[in-house]
Amino acid sequence: MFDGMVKIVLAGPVGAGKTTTLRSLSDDEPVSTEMPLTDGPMGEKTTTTVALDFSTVMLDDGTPLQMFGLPGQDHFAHMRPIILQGALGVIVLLAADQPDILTMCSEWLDAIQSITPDTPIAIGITRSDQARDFRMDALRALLAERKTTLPVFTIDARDREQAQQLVRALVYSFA
Amino acid sequence: MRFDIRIAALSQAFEQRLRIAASLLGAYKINMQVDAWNGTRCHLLIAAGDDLYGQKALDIAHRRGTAVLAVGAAVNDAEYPVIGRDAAAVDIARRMRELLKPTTFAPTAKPDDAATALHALFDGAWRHRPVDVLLDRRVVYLRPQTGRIFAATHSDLLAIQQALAEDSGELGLRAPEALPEHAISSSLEAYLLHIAHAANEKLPPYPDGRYHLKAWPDLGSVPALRDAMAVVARLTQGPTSPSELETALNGSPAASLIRPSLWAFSAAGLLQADAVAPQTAPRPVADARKQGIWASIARHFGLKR
Repeated sequence: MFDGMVKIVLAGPVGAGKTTTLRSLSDDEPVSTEMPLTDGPMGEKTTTTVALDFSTVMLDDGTPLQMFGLPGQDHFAHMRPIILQGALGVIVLLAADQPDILTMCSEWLDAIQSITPDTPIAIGITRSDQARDFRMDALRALLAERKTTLPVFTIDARDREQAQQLVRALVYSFA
Repeated sequence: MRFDIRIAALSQAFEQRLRIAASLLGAYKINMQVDAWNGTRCHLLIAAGDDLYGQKALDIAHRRGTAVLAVGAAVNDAEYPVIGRDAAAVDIARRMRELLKPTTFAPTAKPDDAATALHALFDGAWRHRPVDVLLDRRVVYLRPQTGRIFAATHSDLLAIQQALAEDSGELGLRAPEALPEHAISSSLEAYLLHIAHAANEKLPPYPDGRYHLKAWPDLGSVPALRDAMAVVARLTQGPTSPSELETALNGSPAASLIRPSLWAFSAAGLLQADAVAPQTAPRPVADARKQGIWASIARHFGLKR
């Protein structure tokens, strides 16, 4: 059993599917701080995370793997260093149907790497099946510009196996 | 050829006349089977245009490019062909014959070099080029430059995936055309990896040389082939050869995925040969303590490394 905190953090903008992905990854229902959206529903989304989502997965050696979901809204940015500190890996979630997905990606990578520069990152793209204009090559070009090759996977956040692919990609992110 | 005719929300009287019409068309050697609509693709859908379920069925089938015939009334603003709910069997037969005619003679393109579509896509002229793959009236649209594959329906994606994996001679290829209005899309690399894995024995060994991946392929939707990530991890680290991959992954579950991965990522345009790998930030190195944790996480999430 590992002595210390073992955690993976899910980050990304509002409506990207962080809470859904965390729910898919968890063995139990996560602890969530969801509140109704103050500006009214965003499509089918009626609530947003205001502090954090939290869940654990018990590894085979008895170590609890803690998983945190960051709030996506900028005015909760002060939570990021607190939660990201000591993270083993970070999963950034972005929605393919958000028109500013490249800007979002850049901003979140900057935010994470300014706090924890050496932590491996995997990027999950949700809702890509319905986003006809989504281009994977644009994200890859962005990463190439940043001189990095991160795993970028399109997933259905509701699908446990697909959500797990992001954690598996983190495992393979080490030399 | 046997036509698959589906019906939705029709009155019993109309359905009886429709079945008589279907038997009348036997005189033209047009054989058909009439069944209730089940949401899958068919040659012709006949549904009540003044019924909510019938309207929904007509909309879905039309969006997929299926011929439709509305009974009784037009659907909203849609320009579907309409037939009266009291139409005689002979009139129904005539409209069905008209609507089925174009599909009877729809030509299917063949791969340019007379190879099968599988080989044209993986080691032939159409490798990592935009192309449309055809099977009967189904089409998938491969667009390697975007990393995506498109189709009118998920069933089209699956049907052509299976036909490619079987190296079917029924498949055709054509130069890329405009995407359907309501196309759905999926990961091209995952699609090609599925096919290359299923058709592993039909593809030759990957040519010797040194290769690297310029980006991670999108493998989010292929958890069943999760061990391909071990191949990806090595190919993103720097140029390596198929034999070096065999040696490094010998005995691991990833060994059987080396050849399919190389063919799939090459067909997707991500694999670069004999090139110097681009300068990227060094990958993080886990200390011994963290390596133990990552090993536990790998086991928990189904990786056998």
